[in-house]
This record gives sequence, structure tokens and C-alpha cells, in this order.
Amino acid sequence: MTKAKNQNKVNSYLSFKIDNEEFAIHVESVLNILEMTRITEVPKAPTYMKGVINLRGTVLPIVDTRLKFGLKEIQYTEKTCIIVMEVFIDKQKILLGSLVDEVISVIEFDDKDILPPPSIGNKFKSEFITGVIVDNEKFIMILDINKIYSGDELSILKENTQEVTETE
Amino acid sequence: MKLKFNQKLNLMNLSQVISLIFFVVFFVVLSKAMFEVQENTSMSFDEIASIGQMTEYIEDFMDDKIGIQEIKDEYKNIVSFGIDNNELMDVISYVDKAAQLKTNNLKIEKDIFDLIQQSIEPSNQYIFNISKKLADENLRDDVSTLERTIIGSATQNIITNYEIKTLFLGLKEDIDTQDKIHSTLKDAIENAVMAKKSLAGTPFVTLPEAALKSLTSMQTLSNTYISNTESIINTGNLIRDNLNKLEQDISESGSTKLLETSTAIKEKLVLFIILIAIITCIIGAFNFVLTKKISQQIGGEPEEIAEIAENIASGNLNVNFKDSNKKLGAYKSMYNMSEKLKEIVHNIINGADNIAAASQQMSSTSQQISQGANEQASSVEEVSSSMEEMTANIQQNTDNAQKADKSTQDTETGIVDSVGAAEEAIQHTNMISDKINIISEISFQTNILALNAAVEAARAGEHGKGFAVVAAEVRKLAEKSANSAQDIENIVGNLKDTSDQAGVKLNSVIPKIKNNVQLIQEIAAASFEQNSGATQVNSAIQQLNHVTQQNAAASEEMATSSEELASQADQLRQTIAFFKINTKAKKKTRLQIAKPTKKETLKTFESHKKQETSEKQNKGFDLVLTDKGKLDDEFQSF
Repeated sequence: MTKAKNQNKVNSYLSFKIDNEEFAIHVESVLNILEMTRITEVPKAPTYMKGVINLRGTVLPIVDTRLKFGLKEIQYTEKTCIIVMEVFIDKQKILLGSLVDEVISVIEFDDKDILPPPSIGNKFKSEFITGVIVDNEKFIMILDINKIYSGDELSILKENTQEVTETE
Repeated sequence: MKLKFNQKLNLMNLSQVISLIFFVVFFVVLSKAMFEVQENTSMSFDEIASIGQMTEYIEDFMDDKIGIQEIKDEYKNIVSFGIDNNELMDVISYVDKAAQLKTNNLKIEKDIFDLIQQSIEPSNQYIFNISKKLADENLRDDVSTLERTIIGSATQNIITNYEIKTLFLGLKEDIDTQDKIHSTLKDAIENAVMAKKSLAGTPFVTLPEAALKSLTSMQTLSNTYISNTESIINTGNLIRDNLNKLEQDISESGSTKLLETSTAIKEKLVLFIILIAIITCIIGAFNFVLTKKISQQIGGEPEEIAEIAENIASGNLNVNFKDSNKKLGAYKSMYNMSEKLKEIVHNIINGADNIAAASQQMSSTSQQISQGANEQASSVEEVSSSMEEMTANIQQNTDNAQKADKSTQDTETGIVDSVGAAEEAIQHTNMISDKINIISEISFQTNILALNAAVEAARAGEHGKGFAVVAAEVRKLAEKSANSAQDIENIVGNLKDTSDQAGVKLNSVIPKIKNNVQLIQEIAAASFEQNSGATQVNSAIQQLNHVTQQNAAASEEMATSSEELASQADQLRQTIAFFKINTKAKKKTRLQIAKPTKKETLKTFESHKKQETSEKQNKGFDLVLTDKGKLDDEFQSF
């Protein structure tokens, strides 16, 4: 509840870049930012699921956001990071890591700055873009992480993660 | 056949010598024959004398005066005369036989004497014994009558033996006393037989037995002796006969030979006389012919010829030839000679003139050559010095090229080193890059950490604001760091590019440098070859120079020689002036030889020569010297 309040006033968002487009997500969804590490592949996983990594003892599924967005996969650069996010599904918290091209910074802005999301000619599905911020004549799209992944997908992810956990 | 004069004379001599030889030969042969005759005669005498000697020896031998050796020697002597006569051989065999018989007789003699002695001895002994007995009063009576009688016999024996001995000796002297010895021996033997008969049965019978035995032996021996002696005498006679015959034969043969030889001599004498007559005639005719030929050869009085020769020798060629129509032999030759000499002297005078002229020309020409050679020499000197300069230049080029080569090689090395250094620099920049990367990474990670911190701070809300600030600061720092790192990265990148470029450029330069090195080496080599070529040319020029100088010297010599030639020509003229020739309007003017003085002389001479050659197209017999006045003026006298 406190969080909701805070959300209304000043919100901190973590901005990152994918394919030269800037995105941001609310910090409450962000647990951690990690450097690019070796991803253990999981067989029979969906394409966008790159694999899993070991995060302080836990198995973390890694998702390539580009693929999720339907973009072409690219080579990892040194700036490629994994954002460890908390996703809610059926009131359950699931951790997953998203591959992004670059993490920029934590930005603060008021709700009022948030503009409505564009709906014309957008390559992404607009439902998970909650808004757009203008920052130095640059558009930053705010993502709702919970909307990016459907329940099914998350289940699959979970299953795969569990499999991995069991095998380990 | 043509014989030389000497040969003809020699032949005459020879012919005389031959005839002389013939005489000599004749005499020699004749003398030889006469010597032969004399020899033969003397040999015959010698032979006969030899035979005589032999006869004497044989007589002596027969008389036992000498041994057989002298006879044998004489025989050898006779044989040496060449008389190989059967009769002579017979003689010798007879002599041998006689000698043998004589030896036998000697033995017999000895034997007989021995026998005698043997016979006497026992009788003596017996007599002695009995006498002794008789002498002794005591024993006198023992002696028997028989014994006394025997004394008588013994004494008789002794006497008989001595008789025989005496007779035997007498027999030696004269063989005709043999009858006496025969009868004595016969009587003695009879007595002995009787004595033996009377004394038979007594011990004294041995005496007459012994006596008988010995007497019988003596008889036999004496018979043998006698027969031997007779044989000897016969042999002696035979020998004598043979020798006589031999003597006769020799005489005969000697006479025959003499006759033969005399006849031969007579024949030879006749032959030789005929031969000599013939040869004398032949030689006489031969000599006559030769003499005629000789006189023809001479052709005149030798004194006259000598006089002419004397004239010519003293230089007077204007000799009068008496009887010049009848020209024979040496006389004719003398005439020809003097004519020819006149001709020759004319020729020589002309020749001397020509030589003088030619030598002048030669002198001037050689002067020209000398000058030309000198100029040539100086040009060659110039060329030579130019060549030397060129050579020096080339040498310098070579040195420079070599230096450039070395320098380029150093450059190449330097560049290679530079490339190495650039590469090293690149390595260093790479290292820097790596470090910068690390720094970048660190700053990135710091950024991430700061972001994490910011996220946490944001999630913490109000409580995390301070932390958020800190995080923001950290982020800034990290950014700064990152930027610096990036700047450095950029700089390093530039540096690397620059280094790369430098390296590339240097690398691109290296082949060029290598090329340069090669080119320079080629230049150096070419220059070197050029140098050697120049040296060769130089040496050739030096040679040329040398030759030119030699030419100059030679031409100088030639000039001198031509001067000498001119003087020699002059001398020749003087020498030939010795001969005085009958002038058929030939006036001799001394042609003065001008000393060659360069060009003026040359010009003068040339004009003179032209005139001369135009004037006389003949061989120069008619030496018309009288018109030479004007030409003489053109010559400069020195």
C-alpha cells in the first residue's frame, strides 16, 4: 500500500535499452541488475527462454526480451545486462531475468510526466506499455512487466525452472 | 767441258805426274821382280847350305860327335824354307832309327862290360882266396892240385874277359874287327865247355858254368851290336844319298825359278816400254791441247793485262786497248770490264744524285711526321688526362654507390627495426587497450552496482533517498571513469591506427628500400665495371701515347738518317770521282746537298724534282750536268 502511494508521487524507474529504444520499468519490479554471464541452456524450452543461471543458489530463468518482442536476436555486447525482475502470476512471485541491450539509469519522475502510450504504428504490443516519458526529446516507454508475460508462458517458465532445479 | 784455269794447269801437272807415276810403277815392279830373283837365289843357297850343314851334322852324329838335337834343329830350319820333301822326312826317320840303334848299342856295351865284370869277379875272388891260402904256410898244403889248376883257368878266364873287352872296344872303333871278336868268343866258349866238362862233379864246376853263361850272353850281345852297327852304317848311307838327292832337287828347282823369273822380268819390261810410249804420246797431245786452251783463256800478254788492271786500280779508266779487235779470254774480259766500269761509274754518279735528292725529301717528310707525331702525342696526352679524370669520377661514383648501398642497407635495417618498434608499440597499445578494457569493465560493473544500489534505494522509498544519492554519485563517478576510459580507448585506438598505418607505411617502404638496395648494388656493380672499362681505355691510351712517342722518336731518327744518307751520297760522289772517265761532254758538277730546313726546302726540292723528272725520262746515262746552273741557284748552300 505504501508502495502504491509512492507510485503516485515520485516513481523510480529503471531505464534500459533494447534495440535502440529506451524502456523503463518500475523499480519495485526490479530486484537486481546483473552483468551478462554464461547462460545454461535448457533443452525443449521456448525460443525466447535462453536458459537459466545460478543466482545466489537459486535458478533464474533468462529470457531474451528481444525475441519476446519479436525482434531479431543479436550478439551480446559487453553492455548486455540481465535485469532480475519479480513477476506476479496468480499472486505468485516468480523471478526471471531479462536480457537487455543496455541498462541506462534509475530515473525519477512524477506520474504527471507519464504520457499515454502511442497506439499507432508501434512494433510492440501496446497493452504492456503503460506510458511514455519524454526525456531530453527522447521517448522512454514504460513497461508493465506483468503484462509482457502471459500466465501460460510464465507457467512454462516455471516448469522449466523447476525441472532444472530438480535435475540440479 | 769447261774447266777452270787452275784446273787446266793442274791437269797438265797431273798428266806429268801420271807419266812419272808410270815410270815409278814400272821401276817398282821391275825392282820387285829382281828382288824376287835375288831372294830366290839366296834362298836356294841357304837351302843348300842348310842341307850341307845337316849332312855335316849327320856325319858328326854318325861319328858320335854330336847328339840328335842339332840335326832336329837343322831340320826345322830347312823346313822353314818351305821345303817339304819326302826325302827329307825319310832322312829324319833314318836318323831316328840310327839314334835308336846307337842307344841300343850303348846299352849292349854296358851290358857286356857288366858281364865281363861279373865274370871276372868270381875268378879274382877265387884266385885271391887260393893265393891267400898258398901264402900261408899252414894252409898251403890244404890246397889241392885241382885247385891249383883252377887258378890257371881262372886266370885264363880273366885274361879272356879282358881280351874280349879290348876287342869290343876295338869293335867300336872299327866294325871290321868283328871277325876277331867272333873267333875269340868262340874259342873262349869252347874252353869254357871243356873246363866245365873237366870240372864236372866238383864244386868248382860253377866257375866254368858261370863263365860259359856269361860268354854266351856276350856272344849274343856282340852279335846284336855288330848287326846294329851295320844297320847304322847302312842308314847313314841312305841318309847321305837322300840328302844328296835333296841337294840336287833344290839346286834344280832354284835354277828353274830363276829362269822363270828372268823370263817374266823380260816380258814385263817390254810391256812397260810400250805403255810408257803410248802414255807419253797421249799426255803430250793432251798437254798441247790444254796449253792452247790456256793461251786462249788469257787472250793476250799477261803483262799487258796486268798493266791495264793497274791503270784501272789507280782510277784511270781511259785505257788504250791495243789489238782491241782480237779479243780473247782474259784480255777480252779486261776490255769489257773497263767499258762496264765506265758505265757503272756513270750510273753511280747518277744514283748518288738521286739519293741526295731522295734523302732531302725523306728528311723533310720525316720532319713532318715528327711534327705530326708530336701533335698526336700531345692530343693523346690530353685524352689520357681526360680519361684519368673520368676514371677518377667513376671511381668516386663507385665509392658513393658503395656508400649509398651501405647506407640504404642501414636504412633498411633501421626501417625493419622501426617496424619492429611500431609492432612493439602496437603490442603496448594493445596492452593499454586491455587495461582500459578492464577499467571500462570495472566502471561498467560499478555502474551496475550503482544502479542496483539505486534500485534498492528506490525500493526502499524515503529511507533510501540518501542511499540513492550516494548511488547516483557513484554512478557519476563510474560514468566519468567510463568516459575517461572511453577517451583513452579512443586515443589508444587512434594511436593504434597511427601505429598500424606507420607500420603499414614502413612495411610498404621496405620493399622499396630493398629495391633501392638492389638498384644501388647494381649501380655499384655497373660503376665498377665502368671503372675497369675506363681503366682499360686508359691503359690503351697510355699504349697509344707510348707508340706515338715512339713514332715521334723514330721520325726524328729518320730525319737524322736521311741527313746521314745525304752525306753518304756526297761521300759516294767523292769516292767515285777517283775514276777518271773519258769525257764525252760529261761535266761533273758537285751537286750540293742541302741541309733539310723544314718546309722551304721541301718546296724547293719538289719543284726541282718535277723539273728533273720531266727532263730526263731515261735511266740517267747521259748525265747532262752542264745545264744545271739555274737549278743550282735554287739550292741553298750551307
